[in-house]
Amino acid sequence: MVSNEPITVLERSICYRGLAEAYRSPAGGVGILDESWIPPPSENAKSEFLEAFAPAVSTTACALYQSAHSNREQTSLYEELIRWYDHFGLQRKAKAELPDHVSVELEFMHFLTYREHVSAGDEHALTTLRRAEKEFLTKHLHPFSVSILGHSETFANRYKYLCLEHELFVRLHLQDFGEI
Amino acid sequence: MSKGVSRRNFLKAGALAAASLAMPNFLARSGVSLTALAAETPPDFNSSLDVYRKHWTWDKTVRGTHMINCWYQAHCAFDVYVKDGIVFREEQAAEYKQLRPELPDMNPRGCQKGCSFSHRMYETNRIKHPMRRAGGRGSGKWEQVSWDDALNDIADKFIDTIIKEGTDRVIWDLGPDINIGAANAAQARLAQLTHSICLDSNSSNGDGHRGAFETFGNVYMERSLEDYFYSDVIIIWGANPIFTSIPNAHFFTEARYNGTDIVCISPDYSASATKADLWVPVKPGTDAALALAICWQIIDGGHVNESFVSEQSDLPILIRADTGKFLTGKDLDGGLDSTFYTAGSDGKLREVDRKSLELEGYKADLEASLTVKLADGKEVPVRTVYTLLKERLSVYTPEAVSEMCGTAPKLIRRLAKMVINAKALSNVSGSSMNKYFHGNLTERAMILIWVLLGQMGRPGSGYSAFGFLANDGWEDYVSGLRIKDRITFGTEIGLDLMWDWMKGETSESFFKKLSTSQFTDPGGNLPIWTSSALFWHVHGGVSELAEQADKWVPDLKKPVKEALHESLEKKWLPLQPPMGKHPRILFHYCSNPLRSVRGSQKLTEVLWPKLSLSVAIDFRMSSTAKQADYVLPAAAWYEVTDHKWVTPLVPYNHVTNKAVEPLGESKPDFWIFTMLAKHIEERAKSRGLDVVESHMGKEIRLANLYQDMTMDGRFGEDDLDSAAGAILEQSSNLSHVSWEEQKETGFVRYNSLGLSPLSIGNAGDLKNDEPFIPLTHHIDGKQPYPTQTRRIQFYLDHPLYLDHDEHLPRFKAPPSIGGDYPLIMTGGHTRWSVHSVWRDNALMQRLNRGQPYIVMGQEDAGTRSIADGDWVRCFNDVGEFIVRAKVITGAQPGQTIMYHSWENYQFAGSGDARSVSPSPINPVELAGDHAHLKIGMLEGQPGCFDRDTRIEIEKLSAEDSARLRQG
Repeated sequence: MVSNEPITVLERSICYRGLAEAYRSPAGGVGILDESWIPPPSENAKSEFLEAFAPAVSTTACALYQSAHSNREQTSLYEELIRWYDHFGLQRKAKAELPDHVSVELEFMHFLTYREHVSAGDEHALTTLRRAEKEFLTKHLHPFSVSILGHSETFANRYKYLCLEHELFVRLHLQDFGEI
Repeated sequence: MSKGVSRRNFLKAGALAAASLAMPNFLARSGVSLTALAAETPPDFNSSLDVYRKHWTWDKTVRGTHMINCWYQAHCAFDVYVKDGIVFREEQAAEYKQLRPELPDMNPRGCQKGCSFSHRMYETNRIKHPMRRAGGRGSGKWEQVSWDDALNDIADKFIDTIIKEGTDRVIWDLGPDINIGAANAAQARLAQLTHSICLDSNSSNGDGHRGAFETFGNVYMERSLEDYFYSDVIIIWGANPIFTSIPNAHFFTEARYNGTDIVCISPDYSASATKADLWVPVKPGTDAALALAICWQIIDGGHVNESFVSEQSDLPILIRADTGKFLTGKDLDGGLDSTFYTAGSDGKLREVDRKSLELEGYKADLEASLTVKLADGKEVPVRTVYTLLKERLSVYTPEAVSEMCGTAPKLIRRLAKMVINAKALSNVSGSSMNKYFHGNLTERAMILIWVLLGQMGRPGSGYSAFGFLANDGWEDYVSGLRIKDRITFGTEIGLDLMWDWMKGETSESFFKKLSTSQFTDPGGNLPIWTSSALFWHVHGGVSELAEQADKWVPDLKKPVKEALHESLEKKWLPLQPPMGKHPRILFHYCSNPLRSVRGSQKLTEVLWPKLSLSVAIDFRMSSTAKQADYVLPAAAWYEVTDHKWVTPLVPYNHVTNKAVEPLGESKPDFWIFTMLAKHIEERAKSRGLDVVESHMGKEIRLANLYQDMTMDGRFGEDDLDSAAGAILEQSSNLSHVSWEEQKETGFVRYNSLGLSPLSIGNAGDLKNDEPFIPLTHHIDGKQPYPTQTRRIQFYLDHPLYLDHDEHLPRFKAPPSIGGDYPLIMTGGHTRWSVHSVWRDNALMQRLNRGQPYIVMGQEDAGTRSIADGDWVRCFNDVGEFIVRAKVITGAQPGQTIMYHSWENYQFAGSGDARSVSPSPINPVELAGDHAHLKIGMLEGQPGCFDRDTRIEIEKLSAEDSARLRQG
């Protein structure tokens, strides 16, 4: 469903949450993401999800870990991401996904944008948060999203559109910053 | 409203109801709620440099190791660094104590493979959730399922199978990485409680050291690394330690500080040859000829250590000329057929003492030749084993042998001189020789050198075969009882032991008897084992590939299949389930048979259709997991606390500590086996089942399975740590240091060999401040060997050995396995992999070519117009595979090297390196009904051979190469 209404910060935060959930499990994010945007899971969603995102089982699958899409050494990337999360007061849970999983990076953006939402009126806080969002998207999530999109051609519909719309959403967000 | 943002409504109507933080992967570091954290003033952020301002600290460092079978280089203590529940790196702990001031120490232990495990465990082929096949086997279609669903379904099929077809239809395919720790104990306990079958993978790995087994009745003999310092000459033979024993290799080069010479005997100018003082090139598979040439130089030059061979070996024992068999008490006076004889210089016979090797001044005539009168009045000539050996060896002159093995006569003489003059001679053992069809003959010939010279049981001196050192509490845990407690007077086992003792058996013989019994009818609540080589040949269909063996092996007395069936029918070798009863459930644990079994293409064709269930338990997607019905995600080695067997080379128990939580939904193996027991119990109760009978008539208490599995709740599914500790506390050789202390230090020196059947054969005293020397209980303590004659035995009078003229060591040319093709395909491990666990690790792939390749010499490549890096097809009568060529200058003409462990899916096309290796069984290895040629744990089973595989190689067309390059 296309709307000309600008998206609110809170809506953006919820979108990040929905995207994070969509990458976490075959039917993740269905209560949040609009079905005209990302189709609902099919009855074969469980195997389609693994075919799309589990390189362990499918040679055409796309890994959802940034380190698989980057020339950077895995632990150096982990370190940087943990430093990002730590800087904003976050600690990885013991049973969490790895820090470079796309759902974790989206979740972090969910947090930053939510924080932006609750910081309304505090210009210093907003500037700080928007700088961080822009830099995180630029350095991490956006190039990662572009790379994931590049692998999505053969995916089942839901996951093909997930990759497509996720990249678009992140790109639009990045465009919205302009000069901070 | 967000600044300038527009365009779409991405959200579902009502999604704003989700307008709260939902962050399953994070918590607030300060301990407040995430909502409270979000409400705080955010920290300043000007650029990403800000996130680097805080000093990096580790949350913790623990001691860890790797539960992989590195065999001769196992194991190494590492410090494992953890931050935010992630293992970032590891480094060698390097705290092993120096035994003596003059000796090199163990530090640091570890190689690039171990140092990359923190990377390995987080690679993209890590399995994080239970998965069920959603399409045909191998279709690549899977779905994630819950643990409950997976275990319930597996439990139902388990129960269906054992009720309808018997407990022996359930098979535990155990690979070489089993740890003889708590994880493996849980699996073994479940197997023994359900009387299902465990596969002994040593035979199909081709690591059986058959020659040592035939000669010593035992394969377990290995020194500790420090002892190499005392060697004058170290021979690297059938091994490539610079590749495969990286943390050990410095001991060989450091021995040079003590004046040691290093000799490397190998077909190619291997990495180890480059570090040797003398490289002796030999044609692949002809090492026996070279060894026998040295033996002949020893005999012909009068260098035989007569007192040693008279006391320790069968060389003075008498053989009947008419039958070729040992002269026995039964022959002479109707006595025992286990009584053998030597003769003194006066021609008088003397019984070989079965209780001791001590000769008490007696001197046997090594070359006795006389006629004896038998109980039936017949007079037969008898001669000593030494006399027969001497006659046989006389043809192995340097000139004649040079024709067989390609080594120059001058070099053979030089080598023989070095060996003969060495004050202390040792070898670096590997498992390469076992992978030749006639590897047993080669190893017997090699051992003969050491025995003729009496180079055994002294510092720096002795032959090494197969290394194994384990705790002896494992069997106790598995049985749920203390075996040692049960070996008391009045019990069945106690009476058996007493009878054995009266017959002159040693504790070594007794525990080897226990080992054999685990293949037939295990008492003492131990699991039932079967030889994996036999299993894959008979049930897996591998023997179908070897139907042309008669063409490939020139002196077979009967078709291999017929010999195999005869052996099974005579029960020379036990097989579970027996021929004709199909296996139904395969659990693959630490195992990857579709990659590792020679001729594995037959398994999916012949065995898989018979299976109702195949379950892979692994932390990564192996070639076998891809063909399974269920894949159960196992925790990785830094995610569990447990311990691992080693070898006497590094006589330290190694512990890994749980550094982080298992990734995703993966679970410790211990949890998986215990929970499977729980689900079987629950499903059995829901069906009203209580007890079923096993295929051997044992009661299987299905309705109490979890209770029995956990020893009445003492070791539940989450009690891995305490179970691992309990095993060590029950171990006579490791209980001297508390479990808590072992976890903290990560390694503890064994204080004795203990009583495990896997260790006891080393037969020496393991002390805290001395290098370990194997077999001293025999050589110094005069304890007899566990062989037919109770001596180191070179003469085998079993009918199969007599029929094949292998009753004494000899050379047989390597057969043309796979057909009459000009190239021989040898192999080995590389620096970057021991088994497939490391083969697709990105860091290791960067250190070599990263994809399968076959090594060939310049000359062979040139005649085929093959250049380095070309795509080539390797083929023979049974299969083919496609790889790149790696052209080197150091290979023998006619030799190729296909290094080990590539996963099937790493090959271009459908074939893989195993597709050309039919590995026919060597008929002599089917022997049984013999005093020591009988099956046991990791020994006495048929081997698997790929080193004599013959192939041709052709360059692929430009079109095919271009297609593969793109693909």
